[in-house]
Amino acid sequence: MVDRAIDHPLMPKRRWFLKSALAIGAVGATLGGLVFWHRGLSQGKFTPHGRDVCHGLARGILGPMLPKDPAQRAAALEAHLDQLEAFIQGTPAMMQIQINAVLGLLGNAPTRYMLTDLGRSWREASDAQIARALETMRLNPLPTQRLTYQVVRGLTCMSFFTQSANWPLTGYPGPLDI
Amino acid sequence: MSKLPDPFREGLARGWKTTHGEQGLPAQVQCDVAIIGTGAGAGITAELLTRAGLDVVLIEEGPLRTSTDFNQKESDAYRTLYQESAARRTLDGAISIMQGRCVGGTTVINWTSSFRTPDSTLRHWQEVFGLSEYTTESMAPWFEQAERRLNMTPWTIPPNLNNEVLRKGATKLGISSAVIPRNVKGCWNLGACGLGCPTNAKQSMLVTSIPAALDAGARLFYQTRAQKFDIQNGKVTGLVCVPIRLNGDKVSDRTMRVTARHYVVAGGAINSPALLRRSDAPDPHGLLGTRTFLHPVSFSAGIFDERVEAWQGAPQSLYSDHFVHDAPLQGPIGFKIEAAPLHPGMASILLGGHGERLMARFQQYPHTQMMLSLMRDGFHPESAGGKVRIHLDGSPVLDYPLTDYVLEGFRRSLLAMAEIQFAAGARTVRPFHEQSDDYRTWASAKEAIARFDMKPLLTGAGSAHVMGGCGMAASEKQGVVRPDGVHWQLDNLSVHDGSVFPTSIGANPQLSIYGTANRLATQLAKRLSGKDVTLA
Repeated sequence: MVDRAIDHPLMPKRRWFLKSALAIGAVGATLGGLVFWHRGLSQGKFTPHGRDVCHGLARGILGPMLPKDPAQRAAALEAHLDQLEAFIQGTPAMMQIQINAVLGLLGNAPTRYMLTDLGRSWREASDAQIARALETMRLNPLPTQRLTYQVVRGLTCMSFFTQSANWPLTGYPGPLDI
Repeated sequence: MSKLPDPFREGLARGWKTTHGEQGLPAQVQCDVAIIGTGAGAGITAELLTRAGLDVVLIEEGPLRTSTDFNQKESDAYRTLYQESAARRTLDGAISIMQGRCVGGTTVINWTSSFRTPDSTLRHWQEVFGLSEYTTESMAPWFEQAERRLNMTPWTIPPNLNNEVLRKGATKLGISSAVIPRNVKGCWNLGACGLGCPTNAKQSMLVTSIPAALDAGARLFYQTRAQKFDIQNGKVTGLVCVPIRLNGDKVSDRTMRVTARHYVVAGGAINSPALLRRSDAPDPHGLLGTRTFLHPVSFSAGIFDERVEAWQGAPQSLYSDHFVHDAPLQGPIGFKIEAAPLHPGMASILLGGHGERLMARFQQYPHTQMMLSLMRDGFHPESAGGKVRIHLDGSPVLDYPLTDYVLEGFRRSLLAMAEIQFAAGARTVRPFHEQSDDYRTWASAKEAIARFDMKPLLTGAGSAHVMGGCGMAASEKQGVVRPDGVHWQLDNLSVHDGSVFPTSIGANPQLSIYGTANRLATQLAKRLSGKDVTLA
């Protein structure tokens, strides 16, 4: 009887390769699917899921600087989300794809948990839970998490603090009128 | 919106030939020389070539915005004047890149610092890249002309406190500091250089060389992307351009084909090598897009009892070269120390933190001084820079790994800046690093910085100086272009921008680009027209 191991010395390696490729493909497809299951953007505008993610991020990043009155706070957050949406629309298509992917990863429960340890949706999470989620990403040993933190923090801060309506919160008096 | 006179709009009213790509491009354009870009290298080249009587076409991807539009607001400036809305980053996201994208290029949004290429840098180019004609003496006339043309003189008005801290601290420590020459004329000292100068005091390409070229008959196409060169038998036979919207999206599949005797690529580092890569330009030695440098920048915030108001006044007026040009090139990386202006958006990034911490930092914002150190990359084997790659849609991205060698330079610079800030009287100092806290003494800062994990995305890093990628060398095995700026394999194509530098400069690069482009364009004008021209 032919010893298959001798006839086909590479077969175990091939099987291993095929199994690995299938496993990697499955994981990749799952992650990819999760990104697009609940997309963050559609045709340059926030999806409801994308808006929820950015609402939560804004609470965590800007929260203490926002008005304390609930109605004013809600209005400030909505105004910020509109500005953020406009800011994203002004970026190149490739960047919008990347932002969409980040919001997708943060918006779907399995990947959100992987990235942030946040067990509840961004709308349902408390301020303290969101603060912990941001801290988890900020100092994470994995660069992917740290990058996600830097990207969402940068987007949130740049779209908020560049708006003249928010300058009074910062102490910046605005430019000289010429 | 500025209500002051706007010479560019007056020029348009006089009949300058400009075309807004989004509103429609002709199918065919012919000229003597097509110049891609309108920044430092492109502007100087256009002025000199038109002076030689050549028919010049300028192709600019960004929009046309002039002083009337410059309202000193970051929200508008970043969206309209910067690459990728000022959100451009390296491939791994670890370095933010501030680079211009508008008529006038980065010269419209830079902070006006004007340094000649340091002697140590030129000597390195001579020794390693065979650029024997690039000596301090031989380059001096080219720099002198650019300095005259663009009114580059040392800043004589007292520096703002954001800069004065550098001099005060350096003096106490026995470290050298000096005044920065700036390219301004009648500067109002507003501090808005990075947002587009609303008074036209900054002598950018938008108010100097581009108007001179347009007055001499040049044609300008803006919001028009140079997509691809047609190349046949070692020659460029045409340039395919597409109309684009403000955010860079293509308007339609209609194209404009430009045919010229000669083509000058001056779209800035990252974009120039990207155009050549999209065009499948010959690259027999695999050099195109490699050795792209950033002067990676570290930051340190010092909090003072007095109000600093780092948003007002000339953004950069003092510097210290103590840690760079006296340092051996083969030793630890050298760094130049300067100040950084702080408008609220920029401040929100550099202050770091979120939630309560961010609020506390903004409460100190008017009292915050921001210092920066730019690393002299490209002179050491462990600082080989980055490589320009192309996304599936053709847009470029820079793959620039922050090596341990460069990051150790960050650590040394954080130490140096903290010591200077404390010496100048800082109440607290906060290095831009995710593991950082507010330190009340130099001893505590020193101990903490020594323990920082110097890793990408923990260490705050930015860049406003992109160089290299189409390096110049005396041998085709070392460079993409020859010492005269002409492509080694394409005789009718030159590169005239910061991408020709074989290393970083080790100083803010605008005058290096002006001086080099002046030399290259003067030679090109002679070659194409037979005429001798001079910039100033």
